Amino acid sequence: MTQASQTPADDLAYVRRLAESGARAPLIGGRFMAWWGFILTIAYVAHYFALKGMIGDGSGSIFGIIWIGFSVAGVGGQILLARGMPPKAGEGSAGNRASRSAWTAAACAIGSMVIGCIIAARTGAGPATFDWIVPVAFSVYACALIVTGALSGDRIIVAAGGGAVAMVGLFTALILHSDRYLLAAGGVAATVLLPGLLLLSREPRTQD
Amino acid sequence: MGEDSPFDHNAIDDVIHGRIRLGVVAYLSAVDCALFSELRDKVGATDGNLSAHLRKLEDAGYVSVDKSFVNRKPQTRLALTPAGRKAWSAWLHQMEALRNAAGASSS
Repeated sequence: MTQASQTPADDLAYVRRLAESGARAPLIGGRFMAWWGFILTIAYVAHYFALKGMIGDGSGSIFGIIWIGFSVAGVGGQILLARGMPPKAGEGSAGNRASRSAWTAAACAIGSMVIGCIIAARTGAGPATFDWIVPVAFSVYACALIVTGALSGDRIIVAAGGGAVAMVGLFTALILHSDRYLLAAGGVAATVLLPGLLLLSREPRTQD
Repeated sequence: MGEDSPFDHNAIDDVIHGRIRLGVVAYLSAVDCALFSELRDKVGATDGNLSAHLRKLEDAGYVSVDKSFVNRKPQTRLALTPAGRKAWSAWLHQMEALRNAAGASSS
């Protein structure tokens, strides 16, 4: 294999570079992170306004409207984005495979908690149970972000995961504070929306 | 290398020892599958050249080729087979032996 101007060390450097470029391929799930981060930020801000009595009729039905609307818009957008996503270089990398699995598991865990909270609220636990979804959600974001960031070698995503870890404690500490959902909105924008936009801007071009 | 050298030239797998084929195998060793165009860009080959090299790897059973249509466009995905991973591991072992042999003869 070695050509006249190359040494075996050059050959090994070449194969090492190629193998590492596969292992460290950029993450390609930015559009999904940006989408969920965007609508979740809006939902948290709307929830904050509802708690303050700035929107809704005070009956509590506004919370149902906000979160059912969020779920329908989120899943609908997810389906449209997935259908319209072209093949991308690096989709077979460890980081991107881990990203798909980790975020799917995160969505399932949050969905399971939401169902549990609905059942608990209907059996007398009260609406405060729903507040605990937020720190649980930040916990699973933290796991997904740190695992995918570490596997893809993306320090910003790992740092976003660190921010999600901090949000777990911060939101829990302020769980009785009236501005807690404004804090959650800022946390989601910083740890999911902005990193998602960053990943989107760095995605490799479409492959044919 | 002398006759008592621990390095055996004949043990080097010619199928993956070519620069482009080696690049293909190295890249595929780090991912579970790759698009044809992704590989082409990574190894810096033309479509025709890469196709010829992939055919050799496929004939040797080192690479699997999956052709399909996505959004009405043809798409080729390539992956390293278990035999390909074994050959890649053996090649790395041979290069390590070569380096050791070179180190032993120079000392």
